[in-house]
Amino acid sequence: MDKILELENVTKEYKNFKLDNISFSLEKGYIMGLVGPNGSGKTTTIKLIMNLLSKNSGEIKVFGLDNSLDEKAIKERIGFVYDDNIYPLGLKLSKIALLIAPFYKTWNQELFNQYMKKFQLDPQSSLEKLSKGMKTKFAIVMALSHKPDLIIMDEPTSGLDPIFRRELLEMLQEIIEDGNCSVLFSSHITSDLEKIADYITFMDKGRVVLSDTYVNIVENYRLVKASEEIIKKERNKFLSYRCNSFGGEGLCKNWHSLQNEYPDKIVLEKPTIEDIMYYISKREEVEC
Amino acid sequence: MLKLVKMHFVIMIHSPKSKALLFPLSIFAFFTLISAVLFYIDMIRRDSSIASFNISMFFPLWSIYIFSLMAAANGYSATAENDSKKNSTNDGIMDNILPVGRRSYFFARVLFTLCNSVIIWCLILIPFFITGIILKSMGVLVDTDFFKLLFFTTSVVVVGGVGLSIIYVAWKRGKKVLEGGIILYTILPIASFFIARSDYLGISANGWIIYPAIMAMVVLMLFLWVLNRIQGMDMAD
Amino acid sequence: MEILISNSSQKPIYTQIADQIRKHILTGRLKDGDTMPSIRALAKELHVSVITTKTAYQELEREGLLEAVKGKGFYVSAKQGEALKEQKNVQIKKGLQEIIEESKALGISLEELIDLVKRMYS
Repeated sequence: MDKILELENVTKEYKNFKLDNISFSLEKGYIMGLVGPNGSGKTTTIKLIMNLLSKNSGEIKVFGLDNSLDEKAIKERIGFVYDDNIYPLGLKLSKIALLIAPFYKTWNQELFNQYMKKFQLDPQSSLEKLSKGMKTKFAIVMALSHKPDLIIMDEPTSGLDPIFRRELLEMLQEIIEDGNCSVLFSSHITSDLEKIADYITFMDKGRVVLSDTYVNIVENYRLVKASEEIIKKERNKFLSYRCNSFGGEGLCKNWHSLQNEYPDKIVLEKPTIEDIMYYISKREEVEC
Repeated sequence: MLKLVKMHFVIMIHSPKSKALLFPLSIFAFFTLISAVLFYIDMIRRDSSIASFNISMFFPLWSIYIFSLMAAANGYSATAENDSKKNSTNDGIMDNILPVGRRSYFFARVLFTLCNSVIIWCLILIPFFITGIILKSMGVLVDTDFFKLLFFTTSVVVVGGVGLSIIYVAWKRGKKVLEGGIILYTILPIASFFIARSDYLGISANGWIIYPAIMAMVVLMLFLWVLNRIQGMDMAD
Repeated sequence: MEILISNSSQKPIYTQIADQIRKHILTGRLKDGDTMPSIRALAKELHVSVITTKTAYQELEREGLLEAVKGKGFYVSAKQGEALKEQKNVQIKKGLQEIIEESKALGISLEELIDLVKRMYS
């Protein structure tokens, strides 16, 4: 299987923050969701992949090429959508496209026109007049119009209404349907990821805590609700847990053994990505 | 790389902030031209054999003029809405997403600023030089000190602008750099005015050419130094 | 062929998909040699991740109900399905036998048993 994106032991150090030994990979034709609380390092990781930041150590390979040495060749094939607007405000959208198009060998003006129509954007208007959601839509149009092989997005759906979000997800599924395009996107809106992400990478405090297929993650972890005693007794099996006056709840990996031991005393639940993200971020704050 | 330079010129012409500054700038350009012409007319009327521009009359307006010109040239950078989350700007991200490479990007930014600066340099100096030449051809003795002062101040500001853009690319500090730059443009003409006046360092001691030359060399070295290390730097905050 | 997914069910989605495809094969809706939609096409239609449909197909492949042909996709292998159906019938019969015997031992009548089954089946 081709690995479209590989990060190996990537480190980036700042005064107050360290991205520590980040490793994960994405295979061609799949969608990976990058999840984590604010400040966990998702945007930094994405900026490192795009060579907007220089890593202190480690290796980043995109399409099998080094992301720093072969920067130009790689960026030809990447469509990037940033969390904020990066395009000039005073220019007409059609003019922006005219300026950007010559940089890409695979720019398709027909495709650009189609997307603009589909997203209901007026090529004659300029960004200063558009809402945040429409600015994001434009960024998506720009990213897709040169038929990229890898789409990287940083919080693309924040600011978009639920209807458009769903349309975007459907569009992404269409794009990866032939197996040639891959997607990496970071998001807080975990319900979006539940729908279409093949792989999920959880980050917290500058580290990758978990990176696996969505299927494996949901298969291996369960939310376990039980009495305080049971939880305290089996605390080693939990990633983290919380208690209240009526019992406790935690995220557990070896839930099969718990199920066998206390068949009637515990309630098991399939965790959502949000649950997992919550418990991962709380894993050092164990309470009971 | 030239595509990038062209792109930035187009963006600058259309940016809302540039539009806010370019308008006063063109008024001042016109004002300077008019004052040169008026002075010339005045000289002819006075029948004086020595013509010397009255510096104190022109200086305040003239320095505001230069400041606004330089600020316009570099201030367009803040066209993208500033991301106030981390006091960083998104400027530069659009460039660095494109398949251009860091060296190209750096070259393009510096070249862009250099072009702007040279254009402005010409815009400031040409009206006065033309007036001087005309006066000379009429047999009027022209005080070259004024032109030296003009050359000195504008060159220092121009070279400084290029230096600032290098710093901006290499050590993005966002809004602070931009604000610092604008303050610099206000101080530099004033400072150079006083340096030029001084006996030891000033015009009479050829300081008018030495200082800009030294500055230009320093900026060139800075440019080469950054170019050498750019692969290991951060291009965004 | 319908595949209906419940997001609120405790069963993982790939299991639901596999179960329903299995049912279609065992009931004859899908016949031996029928082409299955590609993993990606199915994922797109059902609005689930590609890994989900892939896992479902792989599970069925392990059971011998689907066959993967390289470069062409997945085909139904119902012959195996027949054997599986037989096997399931045997298992159910065995289970029923046990229940019937226990019910007799506990004094539960046939009607009561049928009633219980009716209630629990829905």
